[in-house]
Amino acid sequence: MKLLNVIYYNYYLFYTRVLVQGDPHFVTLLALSATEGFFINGIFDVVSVTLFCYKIDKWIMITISMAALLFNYVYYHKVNRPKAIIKKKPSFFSSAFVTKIIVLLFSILAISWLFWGSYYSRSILMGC
Amino acid sequence: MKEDIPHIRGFSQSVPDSIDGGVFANNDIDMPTWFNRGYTGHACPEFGRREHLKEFDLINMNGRLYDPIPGRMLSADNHVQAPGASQSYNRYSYAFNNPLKYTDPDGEITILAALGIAAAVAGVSYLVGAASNGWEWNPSNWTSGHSVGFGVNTNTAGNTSVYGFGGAGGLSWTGGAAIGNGGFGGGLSSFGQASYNQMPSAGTGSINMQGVERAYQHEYGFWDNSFNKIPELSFEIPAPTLEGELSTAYLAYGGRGGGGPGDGDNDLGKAALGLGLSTTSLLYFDKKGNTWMGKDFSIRSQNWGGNGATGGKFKFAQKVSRGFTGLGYGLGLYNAYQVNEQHNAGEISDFQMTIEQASNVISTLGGIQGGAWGIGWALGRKVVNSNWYQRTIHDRYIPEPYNCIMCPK
Repeated sequence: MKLLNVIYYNYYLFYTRVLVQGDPHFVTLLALSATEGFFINGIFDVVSVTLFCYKIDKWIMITISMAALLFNYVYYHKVNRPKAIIKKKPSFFSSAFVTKIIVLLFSILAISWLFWGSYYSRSILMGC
Repeated sequence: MKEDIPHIRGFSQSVPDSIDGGVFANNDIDMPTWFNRGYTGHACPEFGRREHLKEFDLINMNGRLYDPIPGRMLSADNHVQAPGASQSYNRYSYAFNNPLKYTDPDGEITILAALGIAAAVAGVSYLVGAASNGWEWNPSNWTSGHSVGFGVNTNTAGNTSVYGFGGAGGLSWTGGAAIGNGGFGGGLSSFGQASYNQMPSAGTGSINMQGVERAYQHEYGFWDNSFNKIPELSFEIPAPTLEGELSTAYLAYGGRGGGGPGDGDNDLGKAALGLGLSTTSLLYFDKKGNTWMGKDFSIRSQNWGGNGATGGKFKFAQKVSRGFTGLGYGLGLYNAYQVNEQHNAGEISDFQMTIEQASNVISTLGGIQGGAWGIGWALGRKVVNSNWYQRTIHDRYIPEPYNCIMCPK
């Protein structure tokens, strides 16, 4: 869970310092859920297409994203965990720089799937 | 090859336990799918193309059924693909009885033969294009504004029947002429892509009605024979055509299908409408408009929607804000997966997918602003894809009476 907490904290910083929001925790919750959903769906999609020649239906992907949203809502907001995270300022290897790099890479990897995922699956499925 | 021989009827009396005809069958049904691509790809029953009929030990090549044990088709080939080759007259054989050299994905025609036909079509198309341009052999110099459409449906593999050959179309479009075979043969296959994109170009063109008919049927599921009465078909499109008009039509119209040369789609039009509407959505939250969103997009108490003494204003404002953000977020999320699916299925172009996904990233990760963008984009999409918009653009760029054969319903 540390990974999630670190990502949550860094997303929160983004929405309070860069893209300033009036309701940063809510927006952080949405953004974290979206990237988690893209990441999980991306892995499932690549695996299922590569190994089973099966393209996952979009409603399954949406369900996975909604499940991520629900999980984050229960895990963070139901127990008011964000306050503790902000107070603790979690990081990787006690380095803000390394933490930002890892969070950035995770985000890029997750979001980029939206762009290359369909190319990849189409190219594989055409050969099935 | 050695291990294939025993499975060919006539060489051995043994019948294998599984469908394992080596290169003739190119499948082993007992193997896991991911090891079982074979020579011609007749695998993947999970991918909606149930080509392995395990119950019958047959391969459904869609064009014909194939029995991999004797290495023979169950029905005769309709085509004599190479009259000079004796194996062409064995109408039940697979790929000239030479599966090491040829493949035949649908049992109709071999890839090599299809490539030959495609090459022939390309050659003829080029000749026609050159002839219609005063025997100018360099396509980049085909500026006369003439291009004789050929409208050839190559139908190479039998499973892409409505995708036509786009070569001459592309060339003629490059040269500024109107409609090449790619336009109606290929572009119209998806109804609206390259064909309409190319329409605004000045010049003359002709339509192969068979190509139009097939494309129309593909899109609308029927064809009225009265359409065939439209003169066969040489018509003029008003000249000159402004570059801007061409670009507008190219980008604004025809995004309903996929494929075809040019591949324009209506993304910029949609983006413009999405931007306008999302900007409107943002302005709706503007404090100057006596709404609850400040210039810095943070939540402000307003004198509507609650009681300032109890904090009701803020709570109500926050609730509304979250509602809008969540709505835009949900729309962006749904659209992201839908676009992924559509692009994977070839229903939208690469360009459209990129634009759409960029929009979805903004919608899902952009906070309240992104939510507003998502709402605006969804509304823009709704507007651009509506029939009245499509019809308006259609009527604007395609002159009567030719527009009536392909009007959006």
